[in-house]
Amino acid sequence: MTYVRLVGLYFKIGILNELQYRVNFFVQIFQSILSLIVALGGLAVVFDHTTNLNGWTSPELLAVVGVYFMIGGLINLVIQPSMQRFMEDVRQGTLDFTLVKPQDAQLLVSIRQIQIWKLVDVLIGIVVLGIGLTQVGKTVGIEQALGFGIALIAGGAIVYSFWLILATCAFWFVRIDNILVIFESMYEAGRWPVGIYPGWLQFTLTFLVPIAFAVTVPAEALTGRLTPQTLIGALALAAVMLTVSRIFWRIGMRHYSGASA
Amino acid sequence: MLQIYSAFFKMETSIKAHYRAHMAIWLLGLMVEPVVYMVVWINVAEARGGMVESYTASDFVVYYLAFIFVRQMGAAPSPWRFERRIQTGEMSILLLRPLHPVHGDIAETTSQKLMSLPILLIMALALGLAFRVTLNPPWWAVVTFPLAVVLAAALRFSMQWTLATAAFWTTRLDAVWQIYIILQTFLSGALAPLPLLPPAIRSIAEILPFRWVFYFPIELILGRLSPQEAVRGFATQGVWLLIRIALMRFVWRIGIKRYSAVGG
Repeated sequence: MTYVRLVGLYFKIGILNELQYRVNFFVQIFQSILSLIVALGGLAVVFDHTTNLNGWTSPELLAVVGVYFMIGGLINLVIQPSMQRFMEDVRQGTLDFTLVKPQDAQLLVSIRQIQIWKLVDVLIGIVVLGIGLTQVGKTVGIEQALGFGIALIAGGAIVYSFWLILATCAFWFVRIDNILVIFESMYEAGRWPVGIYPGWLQFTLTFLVPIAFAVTVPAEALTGRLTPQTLIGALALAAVMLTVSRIFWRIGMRHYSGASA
Repeated sequence: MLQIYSAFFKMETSIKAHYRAHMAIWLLGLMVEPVVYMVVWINVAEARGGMVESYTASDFVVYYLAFIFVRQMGAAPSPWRFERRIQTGEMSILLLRPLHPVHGDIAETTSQKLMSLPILLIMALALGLAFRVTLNPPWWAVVTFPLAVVLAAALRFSMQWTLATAAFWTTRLDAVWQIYIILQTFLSGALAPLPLLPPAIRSIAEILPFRWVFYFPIELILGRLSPQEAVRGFATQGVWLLIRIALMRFVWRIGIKRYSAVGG
């Protein structure tokens, strides 16, 4: 219960902080619309030449784009900014201030920084997803909706753990913001279902940079492609990654010796 | 001038040498987008029985490998640097030097390209092997390809430098820049080879200069152009370059008058 209140509190601070910069809201809308144009334009050009891409129809791919925006928005809303802030804190030694707080440090660093305007991406994602699903025509049953929810949570947990593991490396290698650039550009590959990629790339996108679980699997759930095995696999991987990242975090913490002050 | 440039090269090379890992990662990140479009088009080609218009699945591989190469060799500095120079007053120092600031930028971007060339060739080779491609352009295309790439690079540089000069008037370059990038994505052959675009967009692409930056050099090295088309292409590249250099000088001249130093 304390944790929930704590998360709520940090969100409130984050929102208040960003409300000071309201122009950023319009900047964000502008950017989101432009990236939506690229995504939809790409789909339109591709489906000008074919009616299905590796078994996916164009409304189904529209749904994938929706999920892509939603998840991307969530990552940029809290995970990425918090992790970047955390690495900056390690570099500058200001992590000390977080560590002296009487709460779990992992939780604190994970919700430190919130870019509230990224909610625009989440909203756009939901709208695009809705349009895609109505065009697909098949009604989404409780089963699919449930599968989608579970897949989304599992995917979120996997991506979060992935980021945490990378960020924790900052305890040893002070400058690793570079690697995060790779995640950002790799995430673009998630705009399309990973099934279209050749085997080695599918493997990379599933296990090395787990975009498949974040975007493709939830989209599969909604379009009735998800097998129970995949869902269980996603859940199992989420559990493993959460545990591993937690252990890794603990080891990292023992390496931290403060940088200044 | 030659001496100045060689001094610039020496300086930039030693600066860049510190960031080799950084550069490799950055190049790797830049490859994702073209590889994604490559894979998408291969899938489309396969769904249609092997061909989209005149492109086979393996043509798409070569197309996007060439794209990665041409784009990287033509990479021009983004306007952020320019904006920062104005915001921090660094511009004043550059203006005090008895040399137009554009030379430093040209030297910097050129040395960066030369340094990324080996990494780029290795990566292109690896991708080429991973996708098993074949490439056999006519000899004259191979010989003239570097010229096309250099002209394309000059085109991009002059365009982006002109855009960056807009920082004299506004401190929010982002919007202009992002629209420019989107136009480039759609009209240069990045999203798809131009014949695959819908007719309306294609006719816009024919008029605007973007296609001469990526599409033309790629088509050249793929051996898809007749000698006449190639000659016409080089001529068009040249004309655009003259127009852009004129524009760049013009905007610079009126922009510099507006500049009032900040800080120092």
